[in-house]
Amino acid sequence: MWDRLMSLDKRVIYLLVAIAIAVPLVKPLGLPLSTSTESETGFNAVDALKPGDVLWIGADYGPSSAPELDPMAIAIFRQALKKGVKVVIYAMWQDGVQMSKNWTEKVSKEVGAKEGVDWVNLGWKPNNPVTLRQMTDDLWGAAAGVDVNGTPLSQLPLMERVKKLDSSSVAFIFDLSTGSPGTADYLQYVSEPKKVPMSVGVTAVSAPGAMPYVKSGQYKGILSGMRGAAEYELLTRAPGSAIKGMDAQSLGHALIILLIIVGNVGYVLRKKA
Amino acid sequence: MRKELPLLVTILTGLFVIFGHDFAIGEKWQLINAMDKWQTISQAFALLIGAVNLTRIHVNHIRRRKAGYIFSLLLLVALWGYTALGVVEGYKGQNFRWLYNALLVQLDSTIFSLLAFYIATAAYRAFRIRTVEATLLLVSAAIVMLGRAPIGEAIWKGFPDWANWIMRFPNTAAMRAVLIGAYLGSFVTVLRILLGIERAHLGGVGGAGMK
Repeated sequence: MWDRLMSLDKRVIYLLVAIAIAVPLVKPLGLPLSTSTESETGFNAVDALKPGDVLWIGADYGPSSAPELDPMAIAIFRQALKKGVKVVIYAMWQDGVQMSKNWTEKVSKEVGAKEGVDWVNLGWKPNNPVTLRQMTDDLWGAAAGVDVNGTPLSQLPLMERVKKLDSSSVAFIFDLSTGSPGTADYLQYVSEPKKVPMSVGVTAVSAPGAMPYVKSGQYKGILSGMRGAAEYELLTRAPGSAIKGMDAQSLGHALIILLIIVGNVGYVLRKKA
Repeated sequence: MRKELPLLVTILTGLFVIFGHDFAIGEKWQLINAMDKWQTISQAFALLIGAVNLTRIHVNHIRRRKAGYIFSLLLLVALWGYTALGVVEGYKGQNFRWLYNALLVQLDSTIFSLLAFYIATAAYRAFRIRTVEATLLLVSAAIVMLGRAPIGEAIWKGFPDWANWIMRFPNTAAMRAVLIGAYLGSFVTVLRILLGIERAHLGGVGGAGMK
């Protein structure tokens, strides 16, 4: 019997995983969710910004990470705009342009924020992180003088105040990243040398690598994977796709643990026999 | 000179980039910024060379009717068709964005989602308590997985705290060791290049290039 349990057909496992993930998406279980200190620290840092301050959001990810990072971006962008905080978005990943265009349009319409006045999307510029470093000396020059739509920065009122990516123009950085270039580059080229505090939102697989910088205080908190996104949605009191996905993640994780237990019980019993 | 000149250029450029910024060398002429711009321009040319090279290779595949040439055709249509659409419509273009959102976003998400299925089968087949180390790994993984999902909290309130403890202490200690090792490795590589010991970038193979 244990031999049979140890050699379950992979198609059966695929089916079980599909059911475990799909069912809660259709019929949510409503499991309780608490918030971690790391998410609260990131939330409090954005919440402490004053109206008129500039928040810099890095959109350094592509579609594969969108389920984890899009909800973070939406929650942070909405929180900032509602507080009257100005937002500048920059993508070190080409895909980040389309990702950010999707959520900036959605949220700015919902909040009634005006592009160029309340927020600016610089889009993607080539050769990062070199371009990012250049922005700390001359943002307009490094950005080739235009935003994502090709509009000259001189025609965007918000950019009159943001000539350099440093503490004189930007109050806080929230980088949403899935790899390199990403959070480590912001830390190395902007946050540390230019004294701009920063926080990060990363995919669950990137979180272990980012944790040393959270412990050292260089990242003001961290949003880790879909759980981090769900916690941020909870903190901003605006439930979105991350909270909806938590039940699916719960059953997915529980199923994997169950499969590991079944496989190991079979392994131990067969070894004894 | 074939060997010495590129080495000299590498050493001088490397030293200038390393020390130029910190000691404000050539600040009057904004030399560091100028070098950053040269790098950006070089990268743009590299991108163009890459696209042209890719096109040449796949045009050859199609001409010779090599196995799978239909995929080469598909690649060329996607590469140049999407580029042309982007040039004509720009980022704001409705068709440009629709193609991205309807095709690339869905394909990329689908491929990444498949990981869930592979991880489940791999965990079931390979995660065995064969040794003490493997058992420790398995127990910590199970605690973090339960602690990172609401179901763990529903089972036992302590799971999130234990998961956070694992992430904050043992994980951070191990990651610091890995990062320090990686950075020391990078530093040694930089030194080898600047001292002319590592010459693979000059067109040779490995450390013995361009002898």
